[in-house]
Amino acid sequence: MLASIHDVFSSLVALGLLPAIFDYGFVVNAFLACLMIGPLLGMLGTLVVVKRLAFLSEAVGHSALTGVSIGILMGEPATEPWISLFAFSVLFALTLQWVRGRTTVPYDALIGVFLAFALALGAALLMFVAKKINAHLVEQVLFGSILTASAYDLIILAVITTIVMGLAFFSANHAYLNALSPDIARSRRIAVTLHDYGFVLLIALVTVAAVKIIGAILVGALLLIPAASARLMARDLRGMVGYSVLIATTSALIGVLLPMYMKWAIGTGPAIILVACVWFVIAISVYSLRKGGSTACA
Amino acid sequence: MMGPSLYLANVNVTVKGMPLLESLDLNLDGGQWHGIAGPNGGGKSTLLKAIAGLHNHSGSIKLHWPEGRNHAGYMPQLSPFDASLPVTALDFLRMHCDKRPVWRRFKGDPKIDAVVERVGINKLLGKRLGTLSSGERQRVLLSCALLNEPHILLLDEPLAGVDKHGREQILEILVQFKANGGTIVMIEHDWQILQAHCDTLSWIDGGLQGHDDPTTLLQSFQSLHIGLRHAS
Repeated sequence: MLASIHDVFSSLVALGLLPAIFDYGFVVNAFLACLMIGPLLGMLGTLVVVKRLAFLSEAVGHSALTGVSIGILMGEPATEPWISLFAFSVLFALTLQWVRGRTTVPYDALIGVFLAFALALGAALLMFVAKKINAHLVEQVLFGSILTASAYDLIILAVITTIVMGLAFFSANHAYLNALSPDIARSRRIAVTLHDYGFVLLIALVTVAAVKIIGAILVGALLLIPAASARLMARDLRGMVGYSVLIATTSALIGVLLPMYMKWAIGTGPAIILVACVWFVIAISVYSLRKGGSTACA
Repeated sequence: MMGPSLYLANVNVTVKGMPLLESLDLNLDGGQWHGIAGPNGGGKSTLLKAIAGLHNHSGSIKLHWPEGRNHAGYMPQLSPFDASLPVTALDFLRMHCDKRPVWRRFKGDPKIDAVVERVGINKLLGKRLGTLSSGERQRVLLSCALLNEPHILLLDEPLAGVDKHGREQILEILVQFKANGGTIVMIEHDWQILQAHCDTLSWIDGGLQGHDDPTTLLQSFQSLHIGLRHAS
């Protein structure tokens, strides 16, 4: 199926409807990955912002670094260490949630501890990993690469996107209510604990799915920046979700395709996040103008 | 509609190692308006949360539903809300409905329309929750509690921060709810309101210290020279 999609893109290039870069299969793969990563991270990011858990996504992103290192050390392929990546990130997120329910340490402090642990362990293991593989691969893990999205990666992304979209249709209201008022949610017999565990689990899955394009260091930023920008521009929750998905998707697409088109030697992760930051500046400007306007009216 | 009766027997609630309620026995009849009062930190909200199923407890809390199990409408204590978060009153109401996700276009919902009309919050729907005044937010929270046509309302200081007109409006809605057969359990500090509207009053201070009709309980407390707060 992927081969026929590549053929379609090639024929569009031949007809002059698309730039020549779409002749490369890996560019089409990255393009398709971005079309899934954008809505995925954009939508889940709004919940991250409403729950004030920006650092959680950062911590889980850094845990991906450790997961990759463990996978390579255990003999998984350096470009596709999926088992250890999924296993470690999910275990990391669930342990964080489990410890949260059993201590009186504030959640942000707890996330800080886990973030430091994940980064320290990942960095320590990378020293061993660097002896086994090409250092360039380590860079890809840290900052993402346009070259790495394979057919297998796209299938995993598609499965996770389907799950998240299904949950967004059937559980979004409960998830937002739980984020805003856990007491009311619990009084309405909503399974609050299940939602909290489900949330961190989704963060872990989405992070892992996006890590090959964006990289372990910056993957959390694409959960945060679009939603934070959308929060400034939106007037209601629907607007916030819409803007967040739009910003995340355009950031991913521009960040992947523009450096390729312009032949800039920039990692996809940094490029995507830089575009997202441009969106953030636009959002602040819109917010300031609107605020200035309302002050003038007042 | 006939609201449920409540039967609490030897209820103990401990939160984070602190015993907040001990050996509490209390029966509240269905279809009546029950006030809960007591000093700050005495365990009023803890009791209400235990009834709503938000706190673990030992002992037994039973609700007897005459018409089969129904929803309970819970209204928490007023708390500050981030004004910069783009969550409108309509968004918040929609989150309480189980059908259409809040991130999709609102196509109207008879339940929401009815409760908005009933509580008179039509002008508040497009405003962010965090920018509403205390009284406005209380009315939105009450609307949420009423949304699923509950047979019992559990209200934690529903009149706190509400102006005179808003109070009258909320009390009118509650009078109507009781007239329709619903049960109300309400935490309130204002003795005038407790005496004017409640059928029973429970004085909570670490446990049940008194339970009677409000006027009788007030007189017994006055004879004991216990200083009570008149809010108005």
